[in-house]
Amino acid sequence: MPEADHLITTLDLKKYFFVGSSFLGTSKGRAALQAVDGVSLTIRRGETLGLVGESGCGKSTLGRTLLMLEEPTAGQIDFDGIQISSLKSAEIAKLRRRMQMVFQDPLASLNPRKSVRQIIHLPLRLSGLYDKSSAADRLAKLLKLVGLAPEHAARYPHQLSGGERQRVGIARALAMEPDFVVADEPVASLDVSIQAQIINLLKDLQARLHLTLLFISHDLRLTSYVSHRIAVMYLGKIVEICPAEELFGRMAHPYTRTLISAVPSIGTEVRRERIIVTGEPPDPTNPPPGCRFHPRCPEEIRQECREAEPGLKEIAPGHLAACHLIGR
Amino acid sequence: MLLEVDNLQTYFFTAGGVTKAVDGVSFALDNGQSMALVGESGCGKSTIALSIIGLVLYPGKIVGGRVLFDGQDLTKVPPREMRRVRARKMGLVFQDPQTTLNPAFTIGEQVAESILAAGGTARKAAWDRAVAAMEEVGIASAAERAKQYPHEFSGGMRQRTMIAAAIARSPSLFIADEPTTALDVTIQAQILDLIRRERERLDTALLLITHDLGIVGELCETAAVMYAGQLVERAPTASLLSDPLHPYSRALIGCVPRLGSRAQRLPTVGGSVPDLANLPQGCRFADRCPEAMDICRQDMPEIIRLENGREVRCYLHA
Repeated sequence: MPEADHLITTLDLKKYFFVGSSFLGTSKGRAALQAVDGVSLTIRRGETLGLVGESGCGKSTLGRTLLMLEEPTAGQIDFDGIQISSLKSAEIAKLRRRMQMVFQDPLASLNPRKSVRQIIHLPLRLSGLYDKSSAADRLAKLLKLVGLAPEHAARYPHQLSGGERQRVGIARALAMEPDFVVADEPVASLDVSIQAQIINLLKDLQARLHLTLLFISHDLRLTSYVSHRIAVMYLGKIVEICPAEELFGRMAHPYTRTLISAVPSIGTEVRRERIIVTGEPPDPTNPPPGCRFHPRCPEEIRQECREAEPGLKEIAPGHLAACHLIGR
Repeated sequence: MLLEVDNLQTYFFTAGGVTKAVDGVSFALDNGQSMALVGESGCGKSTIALSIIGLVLYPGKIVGGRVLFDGQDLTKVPPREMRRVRARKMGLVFQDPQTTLNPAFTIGEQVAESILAAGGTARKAAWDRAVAAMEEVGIASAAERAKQYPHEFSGGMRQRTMIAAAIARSPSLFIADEPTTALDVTIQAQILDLIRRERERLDTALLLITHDLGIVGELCETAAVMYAGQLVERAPTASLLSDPLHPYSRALIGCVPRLGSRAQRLPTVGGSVPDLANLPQGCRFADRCPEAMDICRQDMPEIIRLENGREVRCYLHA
């Protein structure tokens, strides 16, 4: 039974993609790419959950599946007490207003032939909740909210800077006053000084509008800065999830420690012990047995690491990790 | 001195006007030294690299200054000869090995090609050296993998291949333009480690071009910050990162969140980079600078050399 303060709850969520060709075009005999493989997590109302991991770990797929932009292969997703994973697409469309997304590359996700006004008006008009004049009011408010000037409404995406474009992307996502927003690498294509502006904006808006935000990023610095809790993903699975402030002092999973130690330190930061793992993430169509990280694990692994898949265990209040070596 | 860039000016002649991508940049790099050029997109850092290696293409042109490399002014070397200089003495690693490797040739052919271009090596010997270089950079079963094509390599492996091609001729200068930007952080750590190791082994100088202040600290002794076509500050990397002097350097370093901190608000820089075809007469950062004075908008500050050997282009330190 989902608790009242949990907006999103997933249970053993799986999303597989069937890759490679087959004669009949059926999934039979094709390799299953296990992008998301048994994820159970909760996102509380009004919190920012950071989701970090390297490319191909399934973090974007997980974000898209939570919004039902991808149909889950198995498992369950509850959104505000509604089991959305079993709804028909027409019913999901009705809920769409409450679940929105901010994409990585605003140049690719904004229609180049539409002005900012048209881009933001579309969801307002589609909802049927706004007429012409109330939509114009809402547009003015939204532009102000994301730090754009009224004259930006008439511009087209190519007339905007990268930072301004991402502000439009955020305004569009917020147009319908959603409860839940997935921001997938929202600043990855921006320069560092612009990144800081957009990150500040997202953090402010999250707090001001009491949004529930899933912040997906490969950048541990940014994620630690915006998130209340952080989930670390490796090869389709969540390997550690904890409050953001615990991650950097008390990270427990060897993969998390590897990931953090690989971030180069800047300026006055304490130089961390460097762990360089060998090899690259394995093929997600054929993950290793046992713990998926064991072939690259810098620790001395045990027999069970090779054989049994570790589950998430609570190692401190609110801090879960999936590793056989912890607590031994 | 191995490399001396002296008042380099590289402009692009476009329909919109003359874009001054590199506008009077000077620095020097001695054998075995390492320096980073740091800045945001469009600041001219990559154009400096292209100017050094003689690959500035139309509508760009080096309009002033010199690039002295081993005593030779590379801006006066004809393209055919320049190809030799590159092949013999420079190792180049670019951001995206996906686009710098030719998809139609095997990895081994391409690494060997870089050896053949230097001249004086037979085809078979070049292939053997290519395989040896691939082994050196940590590509397992290199003899087999040399026969594969770029699409059969992961991003990290492709970048290892680029480094193999770069080191195969023991160059005196490495130029690495955003070498790890396309890579994941654990793979980035491997590649940085590899570059550091090879540089020590071959005692090669390194010119690193990046927007990432973190990797500067990992690889370079000195760092220079670029803004709108100019160097605005140059200092030992540790001093620059802990005590930046130029307001732009301060902003650039300040707006990267510290690991594990949620508390303070990230400082940001307002405004945007000036149009390089229509530059202000004073300091190029003045319009965005929180500490700008009247003089900053009137006259361009010169580079000031401070007693501790640091250099900064700012009136606040005059």
